[in-house]
Amino acid sequence: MSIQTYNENRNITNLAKQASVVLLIFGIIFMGIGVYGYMMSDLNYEALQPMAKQVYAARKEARSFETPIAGTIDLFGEGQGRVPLALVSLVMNNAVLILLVGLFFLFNGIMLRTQSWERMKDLLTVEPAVFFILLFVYYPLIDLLRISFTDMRMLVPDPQPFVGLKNYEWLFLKSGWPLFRESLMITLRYTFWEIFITLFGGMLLALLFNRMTRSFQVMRTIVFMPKYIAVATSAVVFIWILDGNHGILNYLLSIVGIKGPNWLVNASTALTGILFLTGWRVVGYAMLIYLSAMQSIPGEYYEAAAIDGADAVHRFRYITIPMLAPTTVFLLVTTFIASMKVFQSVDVMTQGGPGTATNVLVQWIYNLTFRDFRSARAAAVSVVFFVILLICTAVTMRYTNKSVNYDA
Amino acid sequence: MMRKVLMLMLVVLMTISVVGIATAQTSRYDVTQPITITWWHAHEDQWHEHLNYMVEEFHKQNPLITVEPVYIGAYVDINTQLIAAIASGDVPALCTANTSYPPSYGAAGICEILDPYIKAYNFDIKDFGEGLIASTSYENEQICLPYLISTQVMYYNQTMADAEGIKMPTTFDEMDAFLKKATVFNKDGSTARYGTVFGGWDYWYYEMLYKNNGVELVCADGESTDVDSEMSVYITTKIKEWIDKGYAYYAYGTNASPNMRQLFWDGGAFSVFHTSSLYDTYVQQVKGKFEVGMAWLPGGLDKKSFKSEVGGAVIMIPAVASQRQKNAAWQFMMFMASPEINLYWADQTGYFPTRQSVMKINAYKEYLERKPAMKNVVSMSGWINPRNQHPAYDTAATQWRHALARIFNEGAPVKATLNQLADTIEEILEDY
Repeated sequence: MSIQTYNENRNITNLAKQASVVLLIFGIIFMGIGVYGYMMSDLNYEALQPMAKQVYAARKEARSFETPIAGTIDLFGEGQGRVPLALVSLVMNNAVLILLVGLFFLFNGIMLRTQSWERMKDLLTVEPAVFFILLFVYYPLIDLLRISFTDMRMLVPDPQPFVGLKNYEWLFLKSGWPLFRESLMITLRYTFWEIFITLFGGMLLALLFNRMTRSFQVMRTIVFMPKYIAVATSAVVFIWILDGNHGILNYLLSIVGIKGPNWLVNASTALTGILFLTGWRVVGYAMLIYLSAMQSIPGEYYEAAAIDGADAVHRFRYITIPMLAPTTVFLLVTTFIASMKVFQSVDVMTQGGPGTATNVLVQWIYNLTFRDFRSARAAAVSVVFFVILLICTAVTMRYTNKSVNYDA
Repeated sequence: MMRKVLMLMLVVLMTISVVGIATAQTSRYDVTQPITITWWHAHEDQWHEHLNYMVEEFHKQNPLITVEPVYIGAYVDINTQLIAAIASGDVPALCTANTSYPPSYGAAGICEILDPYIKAYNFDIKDFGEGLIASTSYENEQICLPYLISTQVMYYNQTMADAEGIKMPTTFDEMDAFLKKATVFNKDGSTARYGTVFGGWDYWYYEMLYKNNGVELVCADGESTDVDSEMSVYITTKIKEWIDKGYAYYAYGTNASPNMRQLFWDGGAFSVFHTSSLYDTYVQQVKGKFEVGMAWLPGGLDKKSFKSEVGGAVIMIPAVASQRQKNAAWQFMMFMASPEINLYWADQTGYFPTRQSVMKINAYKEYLERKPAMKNVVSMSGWINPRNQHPAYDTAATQWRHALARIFNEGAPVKATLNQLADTIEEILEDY
């Protein structure tokens, strides 16, 4: 190392140390302000309650008569430490952002002191992405958990009191339980059928189209096409296809002498109606995945099996299915997660009705939030739903990882 | 002389000051700089032509303000988006809302309180009448303006009524005779023409059959319900009987509204329960095949109660909008509520004129002559009441709607289902 490089490195190290001190100080200040603002705005701590009330009252006044939030607020009591009300309001509104900025400063301050400049450069490169993931993925998730412990209602802007496990009590021990159980069963029923259609229909079509002729390529494209069409658009089309009085499906059924039901209006057929759309959309995608997996199975296996006298059924049973197992697991897990979260098609086609016949979990969460304005209850259901999904996915992965031979 | 000049100057100065103070008081809500505001509405394609006309007229009168109307979707979609917008702080300056929303919006404080604006501009709010003022107020504060007002009515085939001598029922006990006469059966016993169709996708269309007979979904105490009362069981049983016998059809679920309208237009139903705001649409869609009549809903069994409820839309300013936006929005609100525009809207859409002073305009008489069916409704408009202001009313009514659908369409037992419903509703009310 030349003297010049050594001096440059020393200068950078000194600069980094000075910068780290500044960052640490700012980090602590920002985090302190952020935590304080967060507590004031949301956690409703008793000691902060009067101050929060004062700010909210001033805000309400300002909302109505455009009085700027003026005046001061006694931060520490007995006339000491008076700060402008507008500043307190600003902090309360942006507490999380201030907290995150504080964390960012603090973290970088520590890293500057403990890591080399080369490693710091790497870190700084990924930090923006990490920051956005924290802000838009993990923060909402944590905030959802927090909301589930409050009495937050969508239309009530004031700070909501912390109610502990009250929403979970409602969900598991009170009137929420029958609704949750019903909604979960509907979701599981829907999920079962979507998985069945995806795996069975996809594999069937893949077997049919597993030839490289030109006409089959065109057919494959046609079958796959629905995946590209927006759910809402196709749902509107299916509403008319399935209409009891004017729908084309019932018209076709009437030609062969069958009186079709009013698919989306009858409680017993509404979910089937939605599954028609689901099947139409997902089967092409599953076919394409299976098709690419089928085409990667070495032809020698089939040739050897044929020489040994295996017929088509045996070849399918003992070669194709085992070789497709990893693909099946992939489709099973992804379809399971997607179908448990079904919402758009249900919302457009039935809004969870008739009655509660298609009230899948996400639709119920949506109704709790936007129809009943019970955000906290919706958050509690979401948290439980998240845990269920997590457990189911983990179990599925664990079980299938044991039983699937990826080297087959 | 000097003294006189000084006195004169003093008087002039005082006058200027008084005028100045008065002007300053008003100018707080004045628009002094160019501004563009967004208006979220729920008016479908068929009304865009008239809507654009009104906006253009407003622009001519108010060159500083540009209004950008944005079609959001149905009222429920506006509600969803408005809530999300309020949470984000990025709100439109003006928003149309269904008449069922003011209570919950008022309780949440999300509407700008209009009283200072009304006072500053000496706006004649009393011209709307007590019922409409009550419908758009919360705790005696004006939070919205009545804008497009409708009520529940029965549309019927006037041509058939005249030819077959069918008289529309004026009270609930006349429904039996009316339905028997208005329904036509095929030889195989199936219904060829329903006597009536109940709009079951929204509780608003059938709730007056209950209310006029003393059944309240949410009682005055805000804690109890009448849905399991003897009268409620009686009315529900009667409606079920009409549906089961093929006299009536309960339009419910996906496509219920378009299916019901189509049935009426095609002659498959003699009458339908719907909103007066769609009068023009009904007349246009019938395409001259028959004349469309409009009747008031059947009143109570006591023959004394003929109440209906206000429907349609109100217009409000979100409280979190900036003051400049609010000022511009208020100008547009006043314009929309002016008697001339009020009548123009009513004439073009089928909604009611909301201002009493409209009735003094000559054009109003011409309007009634052109739309004689409106007379039946306008003459009863004194019976129009505000909607129930309980914030949980919509949630409770949704449960009611589901329960009635189970009774009418899936054969659930009347009494047991209503008893269960009452428990659910009382639990909902207890929660609020």
